Amino acid sequence: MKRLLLALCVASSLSATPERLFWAGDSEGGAPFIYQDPDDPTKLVGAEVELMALLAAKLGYEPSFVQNSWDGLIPGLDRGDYQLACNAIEITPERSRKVIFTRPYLSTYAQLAVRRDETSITSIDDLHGKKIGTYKGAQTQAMLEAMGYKPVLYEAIDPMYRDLGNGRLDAVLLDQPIALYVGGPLPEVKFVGGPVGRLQYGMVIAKDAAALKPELDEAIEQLERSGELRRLWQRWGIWNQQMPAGEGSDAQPKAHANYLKQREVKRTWQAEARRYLVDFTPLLARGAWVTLLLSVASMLVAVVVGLAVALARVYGPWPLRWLALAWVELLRGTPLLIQLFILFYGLPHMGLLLPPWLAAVIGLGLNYSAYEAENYRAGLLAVPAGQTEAALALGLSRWQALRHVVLPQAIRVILPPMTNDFISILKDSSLVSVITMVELTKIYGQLASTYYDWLGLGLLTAGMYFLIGLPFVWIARSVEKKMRAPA
Amino acid sequence: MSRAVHAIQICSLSKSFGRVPVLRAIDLDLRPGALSVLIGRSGSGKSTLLRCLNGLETPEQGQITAAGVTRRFPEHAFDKDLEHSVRLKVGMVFQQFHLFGHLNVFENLTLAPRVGQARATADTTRAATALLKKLGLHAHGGHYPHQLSGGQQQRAAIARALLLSPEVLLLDEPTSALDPHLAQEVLEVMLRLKREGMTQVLVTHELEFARRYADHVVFLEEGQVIEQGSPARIFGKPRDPRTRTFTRGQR
Repeated sequence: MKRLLLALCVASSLSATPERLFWAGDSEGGAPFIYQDPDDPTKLVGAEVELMALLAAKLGYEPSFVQNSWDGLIPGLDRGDYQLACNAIEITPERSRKVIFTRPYLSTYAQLAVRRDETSITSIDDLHGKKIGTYKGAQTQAMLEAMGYKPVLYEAIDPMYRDLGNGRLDAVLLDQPIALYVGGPLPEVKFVGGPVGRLQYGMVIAKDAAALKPELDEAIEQLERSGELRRLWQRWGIWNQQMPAGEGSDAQPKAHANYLKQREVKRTWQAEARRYLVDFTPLLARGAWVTLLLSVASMLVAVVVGLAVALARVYGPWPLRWLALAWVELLRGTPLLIQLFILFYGLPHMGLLLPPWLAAVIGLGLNYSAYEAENYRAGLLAVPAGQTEAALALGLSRWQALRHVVLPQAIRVILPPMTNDFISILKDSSLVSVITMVELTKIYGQLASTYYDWLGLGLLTAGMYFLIGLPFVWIARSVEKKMRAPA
Repeated sequence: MSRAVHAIQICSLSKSFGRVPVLRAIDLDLRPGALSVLIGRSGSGKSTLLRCLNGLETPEQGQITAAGVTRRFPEHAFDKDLEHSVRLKVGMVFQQFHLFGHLNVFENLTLAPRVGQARATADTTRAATALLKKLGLHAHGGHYPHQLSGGQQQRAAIARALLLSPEVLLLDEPTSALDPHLAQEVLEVMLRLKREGMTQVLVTHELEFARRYADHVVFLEEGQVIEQGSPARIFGKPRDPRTRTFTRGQR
C-alpha cells in the first residue's frame, strides 16, 4: 500500500504537474495557525497555511491539506495518508525520541490568561487551588503538571476561554499565539504574568518520507536567514525575540489586524440570516451527506453481519455459538472510539491500511453488528419453535423455514429496536472525526469555532441530524404497520 | 405407486432423551388406508413415536419404512434427502396447529409448494382452493390464523398438510387444544379422510372416538407397545392388565 503511494508520487513527479506534499493539521478553532476564513468558510487560512505554501513553493511541491484531529496528527503519519504534520506541535525530548522533527520553525512561550476582574492571580505561581484549563496533550499540560497543578483538559480552544469568562475556569495557560488570537479579543479575558517556558514548534515527518528532512530543514533555515520567516510571523503579530531575525525590513501585523477586524464585524439580522442560509447551511449539508452515507453503509454492515452472528448464536454448533457470543460481548463491551483507533492507527502496523471511510464503515458497522445480533436473537427466540417444526414437516429445509417462516415473524420484534439503533448510529458517526473523516459534527465544530457561534449553529446542526433520521423513522413505522396482520 | 402391504413398518425402534429411554425397541406395522390410533398415558412415548415417523425426532436405533421410504438408524440419521422425501409423503398435524402467523390461510397452504418444491402455481392455487372448499374453509382463505376459531385453524392445518398429497397423515393430539364442539369439526374431517382411504395415524386421548371409529388401536406404555388390535379387542377384551387399567381408568 505504501509502495503504491510512493509509486503514485513518482508517477506524478514524472508528469508536468508538481509532486503533491500532503500535510496535516486540525483546522477546528485553529487561529492563528490553521483556520477557516470567516469571509469564506470553504477556504483555509492561517500562519502555518502560509508557511507551508512558502516552503512548498521553495521546494517545488504542491501543498495539499489533510484534516485530522490534533491528537491523531502523529499517529496518522504512520498510515501514510500524509507526509507531514504541521500544527503547533511542540518539539519535546519525549516526542523527539519517537518521531522525526524538522528544525523549529517558530519559538514562542505560554501565556497565562485570567478573568478581567481577577486580582488574586498575577503569575503562574498563584494557581494553587484554582481551576486551570489547557489543551489535552499539549506541552502546556506537561508544564502545569510539572509545577504540581492538575489542569482541566480541553480538546477545543474557544470553549476554554468562554469557560474562563463564565467562571468555570479561573485561568487558562496556552501557547501565546493561540492565547492572543482566541482569548485576547474577549473583553472578559486578560493576560497576566510574563512568558512561561519556551515552546518550539517543528513539523513532524513520516518515517516513509524521512528523506524530506534535509530539504525541509534547509528551506526553513533559508527562510530564517532571508527574514521571510520573521516577516511572516510579524504579519501575524506573533513574532518574538527568541527567533533569529534574518535580513531585510520588518513587516506590519496586517494579518492580525485583519483577523481582529473580521471578528468585530457586526451584522444586521438580515445579513446574519443570509450567512446562515448561503454559507452555513450548504457546508453543514455537505457534512450531513457524509454522515448519512456513512450511517447507511455502516447500518447495512451491522444488519448483515448481525444476522450471521445471531444465526450462529441461536442455531450454530457450540464452537460457533461460543464465537458469536464472544463477538457480541467484545464488540459491545469495548468503546467504539478505541475500536476506531485500532482499525485506523493500529492495523497499519500489521500491514493493513484501510482508507478512512472504510475504517469508519467497518468500525461503526461491526460495533453495531453486536447490537443487531442481539436484536435478531430476541426476534428469533420470540417465534415459537412449533413454527419451525411445522415448516420442516412440510418439507421445507432449515434455511427455507428460517427465511419464509421464522424471520418474517421475527422482524416485527426486531424492527423497532433496529430503528432505534439506526438513529443511534447517525449520532455515533460523529466519532469518526478522530480518524480524519469530516462529517456533520466536525463541520459544526469548525464553523462554531470560526464564528464563535455555538448556539445558533448548534441548533442548525441538531436540526439536520433530526431531519436525516426522520425519513427512516417513518419508513420503519410504515413497514411495521404493514407487517401487523389486520385485526 | 402400488400400495404396499404396510403403510408404515417399524422395526426395533429405540430413542432416548439424554439418559431417559422414551421408545424401547418398538415393532409396529400399520395398514394402508386405515385409521390407526395410538393411545397411552402422557409420557408413554406415543407422540415421540409419531414424530420419529416424519423425521422431527431422530431415533437412535431401528428401522422405519413409511410411505415406501426406508430409513435405518443410526446410518440415515443425517440423510437430509431421505428425510425430505419422507416429509413430502408423510404429512403432520400438530396439537397447537402451528399455522404460520404472518400468512393468511391460503398462503399457509401454498407456502410449501411455492418454496419447498417445484410445482406450477396455477395448479397449486386450484388444488388449494379445492381443499379449502372441501374442509369448509372457502370463506376464510384471506383470513389470518388469529382471526379463526381453533377448529377452523386445525382444519386449515390439515388442509395445509393435505395439499402436498401425502400418502400418510400423522395427527398429534389434533383436538386436545379444542372445545368439544370445535373438536367435533376436526374429528369429522378425519372420518371423511378415512372414508376416502387416507392412511392416518392419530395420537389422541379421545378414547371414545378411537373405540368407535379406529380401524386399529395401539396401546403404549413406557416406550413399549403393550397391546394392539381392533378397538373391540382393545376396549372390549384387553389381554394385558395394563391395557385394562388404562382403558377403564380413562372412561
